[in-house]
Parts: sequence; structure tokens; C-alpha cells
Amino acid sequence: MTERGRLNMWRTLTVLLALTLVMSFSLAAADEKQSGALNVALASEPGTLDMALSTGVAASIPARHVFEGLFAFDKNYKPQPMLLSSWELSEDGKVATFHLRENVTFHNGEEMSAEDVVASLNRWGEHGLTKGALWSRVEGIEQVDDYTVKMTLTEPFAPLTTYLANVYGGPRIVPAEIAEEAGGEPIAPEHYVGTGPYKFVEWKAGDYISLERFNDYSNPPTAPSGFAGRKLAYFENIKFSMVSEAGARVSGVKAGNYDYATKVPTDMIATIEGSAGTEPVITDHPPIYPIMLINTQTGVLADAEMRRAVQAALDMDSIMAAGYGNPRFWKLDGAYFAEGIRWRSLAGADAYDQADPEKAKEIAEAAGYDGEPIDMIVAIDMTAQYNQSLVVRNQLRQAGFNAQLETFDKATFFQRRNDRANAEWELAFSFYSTTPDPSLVLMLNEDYPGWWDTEEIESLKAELNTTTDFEERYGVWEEIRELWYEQVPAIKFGDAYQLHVRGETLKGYGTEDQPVMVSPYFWNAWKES
Amino acid sequence: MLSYIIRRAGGMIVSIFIVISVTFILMHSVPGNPASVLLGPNATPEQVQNLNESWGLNRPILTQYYKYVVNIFQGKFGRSIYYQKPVLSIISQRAETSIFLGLMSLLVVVSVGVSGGIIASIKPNSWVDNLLLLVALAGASVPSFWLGLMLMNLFAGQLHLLPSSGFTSVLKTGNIVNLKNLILPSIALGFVNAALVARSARSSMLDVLNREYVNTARAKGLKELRVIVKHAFRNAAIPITTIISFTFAKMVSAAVVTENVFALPGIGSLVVQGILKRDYPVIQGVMLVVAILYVVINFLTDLTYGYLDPRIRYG
Repeated sequence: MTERGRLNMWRTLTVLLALTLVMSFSLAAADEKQSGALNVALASEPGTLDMALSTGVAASIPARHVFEGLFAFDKNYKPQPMLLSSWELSEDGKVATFHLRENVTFHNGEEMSAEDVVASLNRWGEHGLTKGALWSRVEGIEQVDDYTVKMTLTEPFAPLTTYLANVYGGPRIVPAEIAEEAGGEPIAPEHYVGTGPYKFVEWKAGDYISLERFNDYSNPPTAPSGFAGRKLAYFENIKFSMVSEAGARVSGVKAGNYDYATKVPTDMIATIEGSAGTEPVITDHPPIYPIMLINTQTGVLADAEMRRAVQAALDMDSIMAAGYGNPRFWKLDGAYFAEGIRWRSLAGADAYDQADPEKAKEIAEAAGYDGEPIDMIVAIDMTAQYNQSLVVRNQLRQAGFNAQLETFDKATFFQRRNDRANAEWELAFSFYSTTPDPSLVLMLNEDYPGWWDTEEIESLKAELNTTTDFEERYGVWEEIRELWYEQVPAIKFGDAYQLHVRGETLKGYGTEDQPVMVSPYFWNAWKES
Repeated sequence: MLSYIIRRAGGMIVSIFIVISVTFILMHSVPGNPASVLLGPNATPEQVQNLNESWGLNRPILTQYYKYVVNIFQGKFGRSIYYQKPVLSIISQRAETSIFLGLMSLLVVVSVGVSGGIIASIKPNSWVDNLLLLVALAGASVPSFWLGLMLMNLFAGQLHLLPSSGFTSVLKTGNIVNLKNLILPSIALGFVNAALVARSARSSMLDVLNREYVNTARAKGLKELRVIVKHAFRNAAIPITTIISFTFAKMVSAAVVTENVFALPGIGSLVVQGILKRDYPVIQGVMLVVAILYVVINFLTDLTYGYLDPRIRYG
């Protein structure tokens, strides 16, 4: 062997040794992260984990660990392939071809195939809560081969992948026989079979939902980012307990009974920061949006001039403070989308937070207002919304409106609010999670309470959905925002953040690649022993 | 005795039937429906209606009531709309927590309430009596959720002596140590109820201790302890037993606040959640079980009177 050959051999050996060492350290580190049980205290019990029929954040928390969609949102809320190896859109934008990853196994041991995807999407298309704008453009969906699905649209639909990635009321992939059997009813818990890193074990009514690590989980090849990318399940099992009392959730984390607790009253931040072993988690990525819906169809506010009068009267600072207390947990914001979201636009926002009761009075008088009652409805168990409604009522009364407030429990509130034929309300209080695309903003849906269906908005919506270029779509969205402030179908009060609490032994949670979100997720996180 | 039992059983069935009928009518009369709660704020009215239809909730109320009554007589309690499980299985899972919580709280009620009431009555208007009355007043005034949170913060959050919340089945795991999860809740629940029992026990005992037969017993030279336990307490026991039996039924079936504070999966929170979610089969199932619990406890209490006071005869 020559001198050069010996040198090369030593170089090769050194590299191999280094690689072996790195791999050993990585494996050792991975082993160290292997954790037993993760205990999470949820503020409320989900109705179902079948996300096609649920838009609840509480449901999405366990459901994200069990079910997956064709796409998932990354940390910037851009859809990324999850159960797909690739996908392509035809030149005319009307045919989408999805190539499934091979060897993706369901929790029942069967391999996911195109048949399952077609059945799941068809079920969602028929019954899913957010099928709307997409499904009305779907001409057909077919299985090309075991790993290829083709979707044909009647016209291009720009937010296609956003709809497929959306978890709230969105499509999750389940075995074909389960999708077909469930139909329009929620999938029964014993049939919760997904492809996620954790499999469903048990739902003890009103007590807990338990999941267990799915050892045959097939990871996507991409790096972790938000809800997308690699998902390493370090916990052997996860138990989501229903703990309705906020004090009990905080005490439970302090005592080490829980590792994480959701939705803690913001005035408890000092207690959490002052306690050893607990850390506050502020879910500002993104915030939630407290909003007042306005009945645009019947009653005194059917007149857009009157809605503008209401808009002029409101002082958002007092309203947000009443709802969310500590200013660390809210912010005034005239844009619909919060900072950091690419759709953010301040178009039309001059009309936000006018706090001018005199101006409101003048506009109302000019519109011929004569003291007719303005009925406000709110669910008393939505505390922040109830507190905000009290302040809004006072502000409207100061501006000369005859504002009346009626309170209900949630079930009654939703029924009254949704009843278009007998709508007996003018203002309804609620809050919304952010959506990854403007087309999913509920107030734009003409069937959604408020029922905003003017010619101008219908035309802009059609343009928003069919335009594919982002810059052009952004321009349309700016026009919509200006129209929104002009026609006032709903009034956003500001941005609000939730407070969660975690034990300090929970590691790998809330990283740069996987930031804290309203709906917490625990893959790639572990517990320090 | 047998004819008494048969007569009472007939009355019990009528009472239960009235309770379940009223529950059915009330629950179906209030606005709101399970589909609107399940699908949440983002569902369109059409989607809500479709789901209600698939659950058969769009049928006329009398048809639904008739079907419900027929099913009850056939032993079918139905399936929970929300949990998609048989109602009876959900109730039986929850009953364990409630029964253990009720029994452990009863221990607190009897040991603190009854003994406190007796001690206070022995020396009325003494400092012991005043102190016990003050404690009883505090117990009756303190909200159980506040007491629960304080106990939790101290014993779980600060001292780490007991678990803060939750309960794992003793029957399923065979691990009796799980009962330690119920120590704090039973103190919180029991203490509040013990205060009422203590006041009642004190006044019953005071009433009896002034009777002539007690003076006679003392005059006979019997020891004071024997006079109090054998002669006075036994006669004062009837009203105390009545209060304790209904307190027990209440602690088993309606400990909603304590169950919520300590995240205990019990009967009380099940029915409240059922009402909020409009899960009709669950509400009706729980109300049936609770009605049975009350009438049975009432019946057993009546039978106890005969044991405590042999002059009482059933015929």
C-alpha cells in the first residue's frame, strides 16, 4: 500500500469512527428522551375526535395525535404533504393528482391505500363541516392505483391544499370501511383508527381519553415544522384528563399530577410564575379573535348604515380588557389576521376602534333610528364573551341605542343564533381560531349566522377562490377587508391569547420549529426524569 | 310487614315513573339540541338538522316518549349520543367514584357531625358547645369548592402529601390505595355536610336529654356515658338517621361542585354535562338511577325507624 493509500485508509477509518460515535450519541440521546406517561389536563371534554364533524380546539388536541390528513400546516401555516410523497396540479388547475406514501399503516395494522383516501374524502365531502367552498367545485374523485388519487375540479380552486390540511371540520384519513359505516354520524370511539403517532386506547366518559404510542408509525421524511414533518413519539402513552376547574388544573401541574394544562384564567399568571416547577405557556401563535356577529338580514341592523353606527360607538380597549383582563393576553388589532400571518392586512382599519358615541348617534339618527330594540345574545358559559357583551351593551346605550342583552347556555345560544328563519337577534358574541386562508373565514360564508350575502362580497369571494397567484389573491383579500369595514357583517374586537401551564420537566415543547399553538401537540417532546 | 313492603314498592314505582316523565318532558322542552353542541359554533343549520335527523330527534315528542318508556320497561336505557356507549355502562363506571366518595364523606359526616353534636349537647352553652357551634357555622358557610381548592393547594400543591385530583378505579385495578385520591374530596364534601348534621344532632340530643326518662336513668345511678349512648342517643337517633340518609344520597348523586373541583368522574358531574350537551339518554338514565337511589334510601330509613324505636310497627 502506498503512502497515499494508507492516508486515505486512515481518513476513511476516522470518518467511519466519527460517524459511529455521532450515531451512538444520537441513539443514546433518543433513548434518554424515551418517556413514560404524559398527563395533560384539558379544560373541557371534546364532543368527538372525529374532526370532520368537529371544529373544537379541545377535540383537536387528542385528535391530532391519532389522525392525519393528506396535508398538514407547517410553522408558518403553509400546507405541506403529510400522507403524500408528492402531488401535482394540472396546468389548467382543474386536476389534482395525489401520490400517497407507501407503507403507511393504520392503527389496525392495515396499510393505507388510495381506496381509504377516496372513501374518507367522499365522506368529508358529504358531511364535513368545512367542505363548503372546495366540495362545491369537486367534480369527481377517483382511485388511479393503490397509491394514487385523482381529484377533478370544475374550476381552479386556489386554497385546495389548505382545505385538505385544515383539521377543524377538515378531512382526516381513516380506513374505507370505517368512513363508509360512519356516514353522517360521528365515528364511534371504538372505531378511532388513524395513521398518527399515537393510537386511541380508551375514552372514559367525562374522565379521560388515553392514547398509546403507535410503534409502526410511518414518519414523513421531512424535518419537523409546526404540525408537519417528522413526529417522534417519545411518550409511551398520553392521558388527556378532563379537569373543568381551572384551580385544579394549576394545582395538578404544581403537584406533578399533570405535565400540561390548557386554558388557565389569565389572572393566575402570577401564581404560575411564582411557583417552582411550573411555567406559563402563552398561545400567541396565532391568537384567537373575539368577534361580534351582526344579523345583516332582519331587524334594525339589516341597514348597513346602522351597522356602521354600531361600529363607530365601540371602544375596543374597554371591551378587550373586560374579556381578557391582563394586557399581556390581548392586543388591539384592526386587521383580521394577526401579525406574522401572511394574509395580514390593515385595509379599511381606520374604522376600527373609533370609540365615538356622538358620531354613532348622528349616523343612527340619519338612518332613521327611533329607539327600536337591538337584541344581543351571548352564552353565559363563554365567560370572556359574556364580559365583553356587558361592556358593549353599555357603550351602545351611551350612544343612544336601545341595547338589550339575553344570556343562554351554549346549546340554546347556538340554536338561537343559527335559526335564520326566526332570527330574533341583532348581535351575537363569539370567538374564532385563525384560519390559514381567508376563504375559510366563516363570516364570508353566506350560510353562516350574520348571513352576509351582498353582491359585492359574492363577487369578491368568487375571485378569491379562483385566483391562484398569491399577490393577486392578497389584493382581493384587501378589497374584502375594505368592504367588510364598509358593510360591517361582523366586528372583530382584537387579538386574544390563552394561558396554558406546563411542568418544567416537559422538554422539547415550544421550540423554534414547533412553536406553541392554541392546540398543543406533544410529538417530538419528552419528559426529563 | 310483607304487605307494607308491597305497598311501598308500588308507591316507589309510581314516584320513579313521575320523575322520569317530568325529566323527559323538561329536557325535550328546553331549547338547544345535541347536534348543535357537538358540531359547535361553525356548523351550518342544515348540518345540525341532518345530524339530529339521523339520531331520530326530529320525530314527534310523544313518539319519542312512548319509545323511551317501552325501552325502560324492557330494561333498555339507550346509548349516549355523545359517548356512543350504553348509558348503563357509563353510569356504572361513574357510580363507583360516587359511591366511594359518598361512603368516605359519610365517615366524615358521622365522625365529625354526629360526635360533635353529641359533645356539644352534653354541656350546652359551655365553651365547648360554643366552639363546636362556631365550627358548624363556619362549615355551613364555607363553599365546598373554596375548601376543596384550599385543601388541594396545601396538601397536593405545597406539601405533596396527597394527589390533587382524578380517581382511578379500585374495582378495576384491585388497588385500594387509589382511595387516597378521595381523601381530600371527602373532607371537603363531608365537612360542609357534617356542619348541618352536627346542628341537627345537637338539637335532637338536647331535646331528649331533658326528658324525664333520662333523669330517671341518671337517678338509677347509671354512668353518664351509658345514659347518653344507650338512653338518650338511641331516642335522638331517628331525626339524625333521616338527615344522614338523605345527606348520603345527596353526596352520592349531587356532589357536582366537589367532583368538578377534584376532576372526579362521578354521577353529579355526569348529569350536569349531560344537560349542557343535551345528551338526553344520559340525563334520563342518571335521573332514573338517582330516583331509585332516593326511594330505596327513603325506604331503608323507614325500616331503620322500627329498629331504633320498637314501638314503631309496620302494617
